[in-house]
Amino acid sequence: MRAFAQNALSAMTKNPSTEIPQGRLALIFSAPALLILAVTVLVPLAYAIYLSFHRYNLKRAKRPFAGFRNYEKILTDDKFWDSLATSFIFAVSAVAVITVVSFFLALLLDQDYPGRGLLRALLLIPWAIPDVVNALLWKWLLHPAFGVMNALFQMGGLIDDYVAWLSSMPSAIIWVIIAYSWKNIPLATLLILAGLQTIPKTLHEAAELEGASAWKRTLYITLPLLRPTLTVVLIFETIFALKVFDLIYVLTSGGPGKSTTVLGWSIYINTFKKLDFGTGSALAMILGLITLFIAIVFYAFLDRGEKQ
Amino acid sequence: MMKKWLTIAALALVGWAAPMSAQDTDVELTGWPYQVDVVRENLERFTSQSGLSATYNPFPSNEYHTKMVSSFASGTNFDVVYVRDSFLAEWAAAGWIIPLTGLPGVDDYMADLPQGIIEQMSFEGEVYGLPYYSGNSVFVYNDRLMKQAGISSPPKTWNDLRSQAQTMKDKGILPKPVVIGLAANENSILRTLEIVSAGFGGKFFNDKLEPVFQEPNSGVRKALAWIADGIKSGWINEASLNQGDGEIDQFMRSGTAAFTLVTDYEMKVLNDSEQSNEAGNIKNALVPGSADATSGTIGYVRLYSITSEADKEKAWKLVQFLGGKDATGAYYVPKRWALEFGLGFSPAPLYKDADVRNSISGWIDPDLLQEQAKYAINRGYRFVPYFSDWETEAWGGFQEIIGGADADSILEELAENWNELQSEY
Repeated sequence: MRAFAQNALSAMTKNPSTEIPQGRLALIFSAPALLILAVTVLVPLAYAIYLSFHRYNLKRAKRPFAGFRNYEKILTDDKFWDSLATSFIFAVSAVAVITVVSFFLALLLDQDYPGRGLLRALLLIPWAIPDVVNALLWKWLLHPAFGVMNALFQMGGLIDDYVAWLSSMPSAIIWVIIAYSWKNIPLATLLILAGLQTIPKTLHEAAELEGASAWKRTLYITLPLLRPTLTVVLIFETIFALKVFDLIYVLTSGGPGKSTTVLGWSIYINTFKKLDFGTGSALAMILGLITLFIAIVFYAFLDRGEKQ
Repeated sequence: MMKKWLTIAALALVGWAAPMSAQDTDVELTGWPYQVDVVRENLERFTSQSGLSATYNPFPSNEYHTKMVSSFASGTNFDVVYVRDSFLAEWAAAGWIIPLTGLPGVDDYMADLPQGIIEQMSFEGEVYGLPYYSGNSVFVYNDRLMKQAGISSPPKTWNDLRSQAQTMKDKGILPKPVVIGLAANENSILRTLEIVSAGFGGKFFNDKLEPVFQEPNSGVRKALAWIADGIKSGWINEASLNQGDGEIDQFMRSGTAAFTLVTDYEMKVLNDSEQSNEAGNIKNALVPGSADATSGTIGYVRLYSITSEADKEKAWKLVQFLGGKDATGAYYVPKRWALEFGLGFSPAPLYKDADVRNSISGWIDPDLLQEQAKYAINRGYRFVPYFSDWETEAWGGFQEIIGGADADSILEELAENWNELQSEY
């Protein structure tokens, strides 16, 4: 079958009478994927942009064009700036934790020792767990009456009574960051590990012969050569963290008060609770633009590093 | 050429989808997924009695409102739908559900129902359904833990509750004896505040639907201050801020809380030995009051309504079967919910039904339940279409006040928000 396909392809591209230009052939083969992409990504995106310029509330019969009024309303509302600040606090903290922990985990997994394969497999478990299941798991771990965390901390003498970790600040956001990091560390570790394996061992061996300590080798060989990988990790993790929703939905519902209300939660509340699709879409556009801007900055940083 | 292929593909898709969307049942019911198997069993009985086929396709409870509004707005329709009183006005005003006016036998059903329930099922003077279940929120306490603390009778006022909880805390019986639903969702913080405020003689809005909760010394302010003090002092568990309706049960069933507010039907689970460690110890009492009010509670009703797109005659048959009488003339489905699941009911004949009385007295005091219903407050403000917009903003604000934020500015802002929404709609 494969031989037949290869022959047919070869005939199509070599026979002058049936020859199709390379560019067109590429387009034909890409067409199904492009069509799916257009239907599932571009059309909804275009529709969301359209909605963001309309006063579109499912509970109201009239849905007039609103120009930039949805954006104006959002940008002049203190609640938006509060949720943006919370999103940034969450994203910066989570990305820092994920990157640092993943870096050291990847260094550990890059060494040769018995059981390394098993450890690598175990690392994937949190990543394989669906987001909502992860959130529910943490909700039970942190339960104020039956939570394992409370039991462990009490046995360790760290607390006298069980604590409602998700009902007060700053513990609520700290635990959300921990739960989020636990789920996302595996992906970052795998990416960094892949990056580590591209660094020639000879560089480390030469530096070791010159008397460079492990710390200096990490600082002057590993980190500079990992820069492209770390940039990719930072881009991915920052974008993922800015979009966080599932954990907030299950663990805190944006509370206590509004202290864990991130942009993702605001979009959900506006769109699916108030049924105000216009404002919700405008908020989503703003979040999209913020993540795009961050990605451009990271890429510029990566590009400058490569040129240097 | 491309156009031709696209046309063929579109026709193929339509051809494939058409049989799937074809109406192959007489009546389609949707609601939230409570006891799905029992609902389907009931529908089988309906089919055997009426000869009409019926299907039930529920949506998740937490997303029910959103899913249904999206379905109505996008033209996807059902024949009979569950409706919560809180969004009855919104759906009725939008024309998604229709009134029962003029349908055969409606007046007979109304004669069996209390006036309060009829009002809660009405919009602009017309009734929009028959009750699925109904009832009130009640105050419950753990009698075993009360006796252990040397407390002889349940609290009559919120201040009594504070001292009883403090006693339990001081004696080391429970570190945080009170748990109440203060989570930021439809079924928690605002409902709890409505009940506690009513006990302080307060209300959120006056009869003209103007906000009064922000006024100095209002019952709502007293309720917020009482809760904030409880959480700060530790006799109310701060976990309350993250607990919804069903989650509070876990504290009572495990004996890790001694006092709470629940909807009446939840008492069946609390006193079910297969589901509760404290079965038999959980009692109901009148919701505490104050110098300004003996007690206060909130009533609820969930109803079956007919959608505007339904075959009215067939849908009414199903609504009657589910919320009224079956072909034998008995309130079969309401009685089944009451007997097997403890759901509250409204038709007068069921109050006299010996099976029902015997069944519920095993887990709730029916006389106190009836007494509590007298203190149900009017919540007409919930039946305006912008209420859900306002309450979504209010949840976080009330939590902030309980957490110690400045009540004046937040309450003023929430009052302004209400007035703005009122003028917008």
